Order: sequence, then structure tokens, then C-alpha cells
Amino acid sequence: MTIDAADTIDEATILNGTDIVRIQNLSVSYLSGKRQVDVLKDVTLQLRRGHVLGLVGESGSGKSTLASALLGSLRSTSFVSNGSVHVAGQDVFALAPRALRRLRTAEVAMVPQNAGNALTPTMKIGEQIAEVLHHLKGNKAAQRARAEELLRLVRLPNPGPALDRYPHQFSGGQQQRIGIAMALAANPSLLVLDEPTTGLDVVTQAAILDLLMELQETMGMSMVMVSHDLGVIDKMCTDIALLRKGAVVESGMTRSVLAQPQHAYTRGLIDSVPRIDTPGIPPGMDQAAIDAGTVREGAVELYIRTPPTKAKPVLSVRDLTIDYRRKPVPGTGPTVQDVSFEVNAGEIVALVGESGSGKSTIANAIAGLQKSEGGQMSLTGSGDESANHLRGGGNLARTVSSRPKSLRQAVQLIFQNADTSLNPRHSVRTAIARPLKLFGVKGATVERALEEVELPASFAKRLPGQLSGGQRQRVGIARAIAAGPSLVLADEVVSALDVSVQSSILRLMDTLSRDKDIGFLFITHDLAVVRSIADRVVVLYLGRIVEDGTVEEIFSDTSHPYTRLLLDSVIELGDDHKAKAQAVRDEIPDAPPELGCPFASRCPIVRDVCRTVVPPTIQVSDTHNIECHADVSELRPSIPAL
Amino acid sequence: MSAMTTTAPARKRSEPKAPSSLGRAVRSILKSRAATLGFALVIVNIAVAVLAPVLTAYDPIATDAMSALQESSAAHLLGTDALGRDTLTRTLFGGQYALAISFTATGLTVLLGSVIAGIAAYRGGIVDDIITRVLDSVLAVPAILSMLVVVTIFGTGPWVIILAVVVVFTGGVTRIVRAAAMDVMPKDFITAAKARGEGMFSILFREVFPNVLDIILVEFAMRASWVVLLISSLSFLGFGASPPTPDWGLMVAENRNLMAVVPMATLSPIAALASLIVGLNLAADGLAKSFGIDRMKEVLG
Repeated sequence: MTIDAADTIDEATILNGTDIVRIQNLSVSYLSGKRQVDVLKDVTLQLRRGHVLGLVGESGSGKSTLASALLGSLRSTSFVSNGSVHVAGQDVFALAPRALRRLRTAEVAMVPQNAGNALTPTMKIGEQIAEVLHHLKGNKAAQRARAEELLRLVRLPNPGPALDRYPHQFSGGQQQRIGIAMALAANPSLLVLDEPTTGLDVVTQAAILDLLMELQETMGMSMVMVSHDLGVIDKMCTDIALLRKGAVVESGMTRSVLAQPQHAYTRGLIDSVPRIDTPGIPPGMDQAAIDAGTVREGAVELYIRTPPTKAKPVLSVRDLTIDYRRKPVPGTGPTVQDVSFEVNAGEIVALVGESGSGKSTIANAIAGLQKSEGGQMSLTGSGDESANHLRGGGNLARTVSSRPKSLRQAVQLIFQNADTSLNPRHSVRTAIARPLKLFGVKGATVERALEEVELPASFAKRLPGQLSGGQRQRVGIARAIAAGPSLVLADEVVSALDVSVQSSILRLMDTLSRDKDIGFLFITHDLAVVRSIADRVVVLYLGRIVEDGTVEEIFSDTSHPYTRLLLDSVIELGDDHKAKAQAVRDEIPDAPPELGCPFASRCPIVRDVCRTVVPPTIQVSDTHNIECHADVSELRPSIPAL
Repeated sequence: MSAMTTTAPARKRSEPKAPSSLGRAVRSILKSRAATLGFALVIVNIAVAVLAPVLTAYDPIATDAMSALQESSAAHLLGTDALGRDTLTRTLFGGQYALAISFTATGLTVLLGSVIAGIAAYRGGIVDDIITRVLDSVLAVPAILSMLVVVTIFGTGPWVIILAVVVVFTGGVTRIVRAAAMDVMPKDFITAAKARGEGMFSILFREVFPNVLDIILVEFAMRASWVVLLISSLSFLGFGASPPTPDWGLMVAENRNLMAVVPMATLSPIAALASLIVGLNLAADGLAKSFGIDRMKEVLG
């Protein structure tokens, strides 16, 4: 009886329009054998109408489960073991299928993490949007008009013709816009976003977030946003809830929680985030201290890396040109043109740029997986130790099948996605033993390799499925290091990891580069990570270098307009998000221009000469070069950096 | 250089036992009654074929005019045929030919099909186009027709039949395995192997096939049931086993005119054949389902 009474009171308050979401003592569990495992433990949260709630936590903290519970959806093996979820006054887990469908079509909508995977590849965009326009069923013309209106709302260029295109014809950012358009189709009062910008580069991320913020304000929507990025949460969310192991450890107003965290976990997460304005690798998270509840006092101890003192190049790339085009297309140039840079022994060089800037193409060419059209790439033997397997280095112009074994051994790769970098059917031992055997590395064992990446020898027996993301990434690094390389190509190796794990992997790379004199070419779009680990930075735009210099020089006041765009797009914890300059944020063009500066089409200080003449090199210092027609004084911001 | 913080909780965890996907598959098959029945039928059929000489005292080939066309009795449980041979004995022996030929043929087909599929998926581009187009055109011809063509050109004999099966079925296997291999191809561990400079076959057998083994196994079980049926049809038509070999298809052909006199001589090989084919189909379904669940679990973590 009392329960009934409580329910009516709840409903009354909800109908009065204060809370859109009301989660009470929610526990979600699944059975592992006869044991009940809790994915969510006693979660109680409210969200007022028009507010934005950020759900933050490490992977496995239950944040995605909580988000999908708002739509009354759970994994088939999970069940609600306690509590309730009310959305817009309705108990979602008590609803009949028909009512639940009505809730999902009219009240709550979800934007999935990877819109590219969520869109059907064989269906035109227009038809896919029409599918969700239930209220216009049967009226083709009205559906089309509404679909176009939705695409205009999310600022997709040329919304009309876009309706007749297929998902693969759009970039990642555009696909995400389409995903948002579909979610908005029925004017939902609550929008659930699961990591909406993870996997997008900084510029696209900033654009999508600006769009979401604007939509939220104009439509008065409430949003629940899952993210592991505290900067994004800080910018977007009014409310925040931090989850750890399925339980809410701290919640409240975003600004106050992040400014004065009460819980050790919140503190630890904040401390683990690398910052763009301070060099150094943040400390990893001390899970034991968090369990004990000890809140760290005082300033964060950052680890500052010391670059190698002597410059002894391992990799030297001269005028590298790569062309994907079968025949020249008027108005466009080769994918990668005249790229020159060096990587010294023991040095970490970051190659940065948006998606589509040719970073991975260059890495593939160096690895021999991609043919290059012109220029030279060569590898020089590094260190005394490695000289025994690599005498005099070699020419990297040929692809991997025609490279000598010593050269293949000297260049190794680490990948972004630890899930697919290891064969799920091979044990850790098999994975690491293969390069050892193939290259005949003397005196090296699987156990030694595991020790070097700080994993216990007993891990050799495990399959990748039995490892956490960070551990898998370590195994991937062990496999690369086991071969005894002089150059390691690391493609976005930390972007898929939790911040807490990120810093330990960064420190591992630092240790390996110093102890083994390995040169790292670190490919990333995450500038904060670059700041914390790189010694030198090469900024790439549409396959051309626009700026290069030491890490301090790149992050200094004088930069190429494109570098400035990248830096301005970074969303950091504690920024004054509203005041931050709105940069030019159109998308990166599909192909580089045939003539002039590649950045001319987006540059705020563009002049006529930029469209026809390749920009000269401005030598700001011995190590700092900017390719630009502008005067050095123009490359300094009029307002000092925030 | 111990600037690193260690990942302590992970180390403390007790070593989990490696869950073998085979073990999981067996368990999940045993859970399904249909799949268990299917595997039981297949195993019984194989066991009977292998143990036939021990199971019966009669000779499957020697004729005995004195006991021709008998009905069921204590001496001949299923009666005898026109030449006085014990029907039960011939039925027990009758699986040997079909099973041996069809399992060999299916094995070769699946192996060849997988390798071709691997090459197509690995090389991609024009190689892939040529392989798929050629196989598509082979697939367009009805199976029994192309088999009859092969048999007419090369005559009969076990190796010809095996060749015919390989020609007819490789296309189907290739198509399925290629699709699965294409999924594996873009994964980073393949890129890593390519960057190490591993050869194509090394990559296929080390990295690709272990990841599509489930599909290959299901393919084997499904193809085997087709092949058994096809080979028995050939025997029935007189292109397969030749008299006096005890073979189900041949037995049906020999005895169908005497259906009214000794029905068991026709019905028992049919029943045996049916049990094998139903068994193989159920087993294939069970495998597919259990591996399907397997895959789901991997996805869900």
C-alpha cells in the first residue's frame, strides 16, 4: 500500500514537469553460472527537464548499461534485479511492449557511438530517415521533406541531394550528424548519447558538440551523455554522475563536482587527464588508494620526459610523395606530397592532423604496406646494441615483400585498437613468439618481452579475450619490441584506452624509447597526449607538412593557422567553453588542391597568393618551421592564448 | 627505472582457466537434443561402417542361391536379396563406400575451397574478381549435371567421383569462407603479419583460418550431407559403386524391382541413408548454432 502511495506522489511530481529521468535504487545483474553479478548497483539519479547529465567512468563501469536502461533496453542476459527507471513519468521496465515502443519513438531517442556502424550500408540516407518517421507513414513526399529538414537542422551540407546518397559517401563526422538527425526525428524530450564523439578528431568533435549544444538549447531537450572524456562532459553537461564498478560514487552539478571532487575516484580521473597547456605525463590511477578512499592532496606530480641529447637519425624521410589516383584529376594533387622529416634514436616524434590528413598513409608507406611514388625513405642502424642485426640500415622505398628481413625487423607497428591487433585464437605466447622465431632474435624470450612491458610471465598462457584493454595494448607493444626494432610506428595507440590506463602506456613508451634507444613515430590527433609525451611534432594537413618543431615550439604562440585551429578545437576540463573562439570548422576537403597551400580553403588569413603558390618556409627557429605565406607576426594570436 | 605504476589488481587475480571454444561448443551441442541426436546418428553410422565385419557373420558379397529372396527370419533378420545375400549385412557394409568417398571428397573440397577463398580474400582486387566470377559460373550449372559430365568423360571409379564432387562443390565452399575471411582481413593482426613480411600462406593458415574454423566446420558437415546424397544418387544411376560392392544407392537400384517380394532389401538401405543424412544435417545445424552462440559471447565479452 505504501508503495502505491509513493508511486502516485512520484508521478504527480513528474507530471508537474520537473524530472525527466528518475532512477531509483536501480540494480542490473546477470547470472554467471549460479552467481549473480551486478553490472549496476543501487543507482539513484534524477535529471531535471532541460538539463544535461554526463555519465563518466572507466570501461566496465556500467555507464553504457545505465544509458541503454533509459530506453528500457538491456543485454539479453541481464535483468533488473532491483529498483526502477522512470522516464517522462513512465516506469520503462514495467511498460508493455507497445507502450515501450511509443516511449522510444516519442520521448527517448538514442545516438549510438559509431553512427557509421549504425547506418545500414545498402540503404540511401533518405530511406533510412523515413523509416523512423512513424507519424508520416505512407506519405512519401512528407517524409522526404521532413528528412531534408532534419538534415538541415544538423547542418549537413546539401541536405537535398544527400538524401539519395549512401552512408559510405559521408565522412565520419557527417555520419554522426545523420545519426543525430535520425534521433531527432520525433522531437524526443530526452536524447541519450553514447560516446557521441569518441573516434572523431578534435575539429570534428568540436563541431558536433557545438551542434548538440545548440540543438539542446533551441529545442529545450534533456540529454544524457555517456563519455570518458572529462573535457567533453565539462563543456556539455549541467549535471554529472561518476560511475565506478556499477555504482555512482559521486554526482552533482558538473562545475562544482569537477572543481572540488569529494571522491578519490573523481580526483584520480581528473588527475589522469593530460593537459594541453602543461607538459608531462600525468600519474596513473592508484586503484588501491581509491578503494581505501584516500583523496590525494596537493598538486599533481607530472612526469616530464627528457628528450634524447644527441641527434642520431634512425628514420629519414625526404620528399615522400604518395598518390592514390590512378590518373591525375584536374584541380587535385597527390595524397601525400613532399613530406620530409626525421626520427632520431630514442626520440618520440608525433605526427598530428585531422582524419584524412594522411598520417596513417605515411606510416603505412614507412611500414612498406603502401607504395610510394617519389622521394626517399631510409633507415639507419641505431645504437650499438642493435648494430648486430642491422648494419647500415636500408632503403624503405620498396614495399614489405621486397625488403630484406633485417629491415622488416627494424620497423615494427603498434596499433590503435588492441582488440583487433591480436589474433583472438592465439595465446599471448604464440603472438610474441612469432616475431622472435621469424627474425631469429637471439637471447630473447617471451617472458623477457612480457617483463619489458611490465606484465607477469604467467600471462603468456592467456588468450587476448582474457586480458583488459590496457593489458592487450601492452602485449601488442611486447610483440613489436620483441623483434628488436630501431623504429616503432605507433598509430593512435592510446586513444581507445581509458585515461587512467593511458598514462601508464605513455610512460611505458617513454621507458622503452630511452632504455632501448628506439625511435617512435607517434600518430595521433590528441594534442594533449602529444604535449605530454612527444619530443618533436610534425603537423600534417592533406598530406603536406604545414608546421614542424619541438613540442614546446608547436604549443607556443607562433603557429600555422591550421595548428591554431587544432589547438582551439581541443576541449579541456576547466576551459571557459563559451568564451573559446569559434574557429573555422568546415570539414577537411576530400582531396588536396593541385596548387598553392593545402589549407587555403579553410584559412582565416588566406590571401590570393595562397591559392596558386606553394607557401614558403618560415624559419621561426633552427628547429621550428612553418609553411605559410603570411608574416610571422600574423601567426601570433591577437589575443594571447587562453 | 621504476617510474611506472604497476597494474596491481590484474596481477593478483587468480589465473582463469583458458576456456577452449571447442569445450564450449561440445557443451552447447550436448544441451541441444537435436544436435546430440544428429551427432549420435553420424557417429553410429561411422562406427557401423568401420565395425561391419565384426558385427555380422555373413559375407556381404558371396552369393547363396539356396537362400534367395527370403523374408525376415532368425537367420536373416532383414531377409535376403535375389542373390541370397543377407540384407542386414549388406546394409551394415553399405555405408563404407558412401562414407569413405564422401568424407574424403568433402574434406578435399573444403580444404581447396578454403584455400581459394583465402587467396581471393587476401589478394582482393582483380584476383578476387576472377576467382569469384569463375566459381559463380561453375555454381550456375546444376550439381548432378556437372557430375554426370565428369563421370562420362573420365569414366567411373572412386577418384573420378571425388574429382567430380570437388569440381561441383568447391564454388559454394569458397563463397562462404571468402565472406568470412574478408571480415578477418582488415584486422590489425593481419596488418602486423604483413608488416613482418609473412607470406600469404603463412598468414592464411596462421592468422585467418583459425578465425574462420567454425564456419569451415559447419561447411564441412553441411556439404557432407549433400555429398553423401549425391554419391548415393550416382551409385543408384550406375555411375558410382559397381556390383557386387555393398552400397546403399546400388542396393536400392538392384532391389527396387523386388519391392513387392522383399521390401526390406530396398527399405533398409534407404532408412540407413536417411539416418546418415538427417544426422549430418542436424549436426551441421547444431554446430552452427553452438558456434553462433560462441560468437555472440565473444561480442558481448
